Amino acid sequence: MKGGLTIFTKIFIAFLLLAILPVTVSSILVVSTYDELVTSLIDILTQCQDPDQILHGYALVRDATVLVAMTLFITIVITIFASLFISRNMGVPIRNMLQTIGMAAKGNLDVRAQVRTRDEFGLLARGFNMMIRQLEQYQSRLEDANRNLEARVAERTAELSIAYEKLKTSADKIHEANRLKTEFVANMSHELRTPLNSIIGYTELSLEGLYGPLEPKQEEALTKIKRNSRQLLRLISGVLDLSKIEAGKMPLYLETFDAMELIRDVADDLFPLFEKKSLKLIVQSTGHIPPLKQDHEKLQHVLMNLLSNALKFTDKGMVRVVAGEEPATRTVRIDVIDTGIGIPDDQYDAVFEHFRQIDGGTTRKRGGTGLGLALVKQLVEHMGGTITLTSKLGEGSRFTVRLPIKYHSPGEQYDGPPKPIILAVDDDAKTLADLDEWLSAEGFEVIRCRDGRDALKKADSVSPKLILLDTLLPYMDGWSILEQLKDKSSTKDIPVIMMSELVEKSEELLEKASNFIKKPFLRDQIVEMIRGFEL
Amino acid sequence: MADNKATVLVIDDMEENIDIISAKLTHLGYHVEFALDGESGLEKAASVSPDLILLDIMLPKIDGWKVLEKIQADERLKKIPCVMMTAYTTIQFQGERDQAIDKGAVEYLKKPFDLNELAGIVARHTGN
Repeated sequence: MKGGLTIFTKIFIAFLLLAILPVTVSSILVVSTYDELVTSLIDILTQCQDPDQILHGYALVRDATVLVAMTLFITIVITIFASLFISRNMGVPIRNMLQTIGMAAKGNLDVRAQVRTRDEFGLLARGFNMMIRQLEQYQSRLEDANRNLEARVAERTAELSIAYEKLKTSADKIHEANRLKTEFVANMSHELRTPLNSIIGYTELSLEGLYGPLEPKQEEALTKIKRNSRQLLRLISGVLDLSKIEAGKMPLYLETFDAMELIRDVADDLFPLFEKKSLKLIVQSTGHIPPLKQDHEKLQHVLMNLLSNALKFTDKGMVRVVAGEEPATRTVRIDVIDTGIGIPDDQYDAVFEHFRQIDGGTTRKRGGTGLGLALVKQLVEHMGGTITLTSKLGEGSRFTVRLPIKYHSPGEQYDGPPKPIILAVDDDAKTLADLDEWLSAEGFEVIRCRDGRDALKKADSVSPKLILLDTLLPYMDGWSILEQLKDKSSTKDIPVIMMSELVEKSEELLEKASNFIKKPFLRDQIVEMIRGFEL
Repeated sequence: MADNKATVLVIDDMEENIDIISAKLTHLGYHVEFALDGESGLEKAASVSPDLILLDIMLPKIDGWKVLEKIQADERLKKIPCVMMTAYTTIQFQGERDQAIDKGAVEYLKKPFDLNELAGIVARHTGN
C-alpha cells in the first residue's frame, strides 16, 4: 500500500465524515435552538420574582445543557466506534483476500480464501476459490500433458536411436560389401590378366615367326587374337580403374605442368588415327593458361579418352580442342568439340554411365569399352573438376571440362602466393626425385623434366626462376640445351646451374651457365648454391 | 646379335611368362636364367651374376619388393639393374613407376608388355 492510505483507513474516514456531518448539523441546530431557548428562559427568569422559581429554572437550563452535551458526546463516540467497526468489517476480508491472492500469485494453488460471510465478500471469496480450483485443474492437466509428451519424446528418441543403429549397421554392411566388391574386382582383374598375358605373349611370339613361318591365314587369325586380347585387357583395366576410384583408392599425384603442352602431346599421339579417318584435329588456346598443379597422368587419360571418343563418333569434319583460363574461378576450361553423330538431350546423363552408349547397337559398331566416359567423369570429379556436355543430333558434341588450376584437397587452405618454380632436367629419375624432395622442402615448386626437348618447351611455358640442367641427356646434351636457352629472348635471363658427373668443361660454355655442381652432390650443397640466387 | 652373351635372370612364378620372355630374349641372343620364387631368385642371382634381372612383383613367399630390397642391400648384387614387372596396375602408372624407381629399380613394366619394348629396355640396361 505504498503511496496511499489503506482501504481500512479510507473506509474509516468515509464513515466518520458521513456520521459526523449530520451529527454536527443537528448539533448546530440543537445548539442554535437551545441558545434561543436559554435566552428566552433567562428573560422569563429575570422578570420572575420568585427566587425558588429562578433557581429551579437555572437548574433546568443546566440539566438541559448537560443533557445536550452528553448526547452530543455519546453520539460522536458511537459514530467513531461504528465507523471503526464497519471499516474493519469491510477492510479485513479485503486484506485477507489480498494475502490469499498474493500467495496464489506466487504459485501456491493450495491456498483458499476463507468464506466467513454470505455477502458479496463471501461470494468474492467463493468465486476466487473456484478460479483457483480451475487453475489447479488446468495446471495438473498441463503437467499430465507434459509428462505424456516427455514419455513420447523418450519413446521416439528410443525408436530413432534404434533406427539409427539399424541404418548404421546397414551402412557398415554396404561399406563392407563395397570394399569386398572392390577387392573382388581387383583380384578378378588380376586373375583375368594373368592368362591374357600368356595369350598376348604367345601370339606376339608366333606373329614374329619365332615358331616358324606363318601362312597368311594364320597370320590374319593371330593378328585378330592379338587385337581382341588387347581390347579385353583395356576393358579389364577400365573396370579396375573405375572400381578403384569409386572405392576412393586412387590417390592424386600432383605435378606442375603446362596444360597446352599436355594437350598438344595427346593430340600428337592420336594424330595418326585422325589422319587415317581423314579428320582434322585442331588444338587452340584462348589465351595464356597459368601452369596447372594437377594430376598430369589422370588429365592425360581424360584427354585421351575424350579425343578417342570424338574420333570414334565422328565420320567427317573435324575435332577441335580449345583450352583457356577462366580467371574468376581459377579454373582451366578445356572443350573437346566434334562434328560427329551427336547425342540426344535425354541421353546426356546416360553417356557418363558404365557400359552405356547412346543405343545398344553402337558399342559393337563403334567399338570401345563403354567405360571411357564413365571413367572420364570419375577422374575429372576426382581432380576437383566438372564435365558437361552439349550436343545437337547430327551436328556434333561438345564436352567441357573445368578443372581447378591448382588442386586443393577438400578442407585444404589456399596455399598463398605462388612458389618460385625450379625446372629440374635430368634423365635419372632418382636425381629428379631427390631434387624434388629437397627443394620442395625449401619452398620451391619443382618441375621435373626428363629430356632436352621437353626442357626447352617447359622453360618457355612455365617461366621457371632457375633451371638445373644435367649435361648428359638423351637426344640433346645439356650444353646445347644451355646454348639454345641463352639464344632465346624469353629464356636467356633464367639462371642455369649445370650438373655433371664429369669435371671437364669448356670455359666458353661454362660462362653461359650461372654455376656448376659436380654429381653426385649432397642436399646441403645444392640447397646452399640455390640460396645464393635470391629467388 | 647372336654373339650377345649378356645374361638375364627372370624371376617370375608364372612358367608361361618365363617361357615367353626367354623365347624372345634367347631369339635376340641373350642367355636367360630363371627362378620361380624370390628366395631361389636371390640364390640364382648370387650364383650366375646376371647382367640384368627381370623381377615380378607378385611372388610366393617373399614378394618382388622384398627381393629388390635384398638385392640393394647386397654388396655383390646391388650393381645389377632390376626391372620390375607387374600385372597390377592402373592409370596411375607414372606414379607407381616413380615409386619403383625411388626404391632402386631401373624400370617398371606393366604386363602384358610389348615384347619389343621389353627387348629395348633389356638392351639399354645391358649396355647394348
